[in-house]
Amino acid sequence: MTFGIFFGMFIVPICILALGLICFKIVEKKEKKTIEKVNEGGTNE
Amino acid sequence: MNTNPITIAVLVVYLIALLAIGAYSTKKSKGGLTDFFLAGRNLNKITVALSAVSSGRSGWLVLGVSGIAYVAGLKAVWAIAGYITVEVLMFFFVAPRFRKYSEKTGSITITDILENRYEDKSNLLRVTASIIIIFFMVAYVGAQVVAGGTAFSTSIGLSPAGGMWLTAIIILVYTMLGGFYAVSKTDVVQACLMIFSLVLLPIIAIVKLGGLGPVFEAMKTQGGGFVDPFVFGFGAIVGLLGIGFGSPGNPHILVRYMSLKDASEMRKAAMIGTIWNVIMGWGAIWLGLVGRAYFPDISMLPNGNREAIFTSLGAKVGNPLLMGVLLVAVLAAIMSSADSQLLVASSTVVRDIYERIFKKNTEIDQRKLVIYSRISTAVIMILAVLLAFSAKDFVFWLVLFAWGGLGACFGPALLLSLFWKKTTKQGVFWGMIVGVITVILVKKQPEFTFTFLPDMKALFSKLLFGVTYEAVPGFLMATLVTIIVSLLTKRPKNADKIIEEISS
Repeated sequence: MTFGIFFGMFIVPICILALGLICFKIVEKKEKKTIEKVNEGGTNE
Repeated sequence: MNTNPITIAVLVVYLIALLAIGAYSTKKSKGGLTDFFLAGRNLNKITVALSAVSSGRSGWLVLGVSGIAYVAGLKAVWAIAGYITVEVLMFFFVAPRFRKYSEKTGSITITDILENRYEDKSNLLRVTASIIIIFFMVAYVGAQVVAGGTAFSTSIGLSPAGGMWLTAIIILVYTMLGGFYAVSKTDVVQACLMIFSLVLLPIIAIVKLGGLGPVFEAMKTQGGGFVDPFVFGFGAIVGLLGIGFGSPGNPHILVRYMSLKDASEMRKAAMIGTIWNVIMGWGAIWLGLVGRAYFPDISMLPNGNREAIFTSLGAKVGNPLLMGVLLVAVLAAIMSSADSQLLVASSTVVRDIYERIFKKNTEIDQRKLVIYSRISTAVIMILAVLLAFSAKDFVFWLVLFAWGGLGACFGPALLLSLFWKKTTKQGVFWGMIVGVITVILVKKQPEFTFTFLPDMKALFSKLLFGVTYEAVPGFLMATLVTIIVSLLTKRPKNADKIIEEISS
């Protein structure tokens, strides 16, 4: 197997899946922060 | 042609299943327009994810991408990497805003979103967007019906006209009965069939060859793009990646985001959609590459047609049952797009034109609107079939730039509307117009050559380092024009508030 085949058939799809996972974590973190903010607001009131 | 009873039985079971889903969905779609066109914003994450990926792909993935991989090897990697990456970003970062804003404003269509965002009482955006959507969507549906007719005629020997009518009637019945709910649920079945065939067929073919060795040997024998994905050059690679510019503007993909029941489930839907997209995409590429080991020369395929690699490989390594599944997978790919496009066209007629323009200040019974939507769905399908019969060339002429044209027209408009406070109605209007015109002018050079205009294809190719795929300059020009015109015009008063609300 050449590097080109390895790159096209394995590296690229893995990178896209990794991008998906990174985005998942970013959005999850953002949502947690928003929930914490809302909860804090509720407690202060 | 395959008339084996097992193959026919698989086909019949599939078609009956679609009709049964349509019949079951009838009660879910009769409450009002939100029910009929968005399944009451009540779909779960799996349905939304699979519906979004299968609606966006059509026969292009199953037949087209496997054909590109068969003829040009790893070039196909760039063709799918672009749209999957864009759809990852869309699903994670754009879809939540889309979902939130559409629910908050009661938007059902993307023209609703644009009109509400700019409080456009003049109907300028709605009329412009509706005309563009109807033209492209009717052409899309017509082309899918032609593809369905071809699939039926080459596989089980129906006449092409008979195959077209059968495709149209099946799609029409379940879409009319069950609306968006039926379309989404059938999309799930269709996405499963597509992934099953795109994964199973290459695996069976590789096992029968005795492993991956012969596949790599066949690729090395071909050389060039079969062993080196970078051999195609910067312009060609960016052009292929530019296919992704279509995704943010095709309404039949975007409306999926609005139908999710629980907005907090969007990131899970996004992850499911991403995994599904990657497996389907690379399955199609593997299929084309493995096909090279079985059919070293393209003349070995029926009529030398590269898109026949999917069915030819199936016939070579499969049995009648597998052939039935493969035939159904091709139809699934075609139908999953056609039904979604049909429904978008119907929503444009009933919601955007009838309810929001002609009956703007009139209260109409929602159940009546559902009946009108069903009638409009039938009329559009008949129109699409008649167009496909009488003006096939025109239909395919429109479809040539439908993906890129819609991407350039609505992509920048919607993205900037949801992310940039300074976007204005005038900016969006001119961006949409310039986007579509640029795509048409670049795609149809030298046919559309005017003395007062330079050769647009050559010009953009020079400016964009050799990129010639029309969606790239179309998208960039639309973005540029939207930004410039927006900066020169007055933004709506509530823009800051809207962007803050949907981003929190």
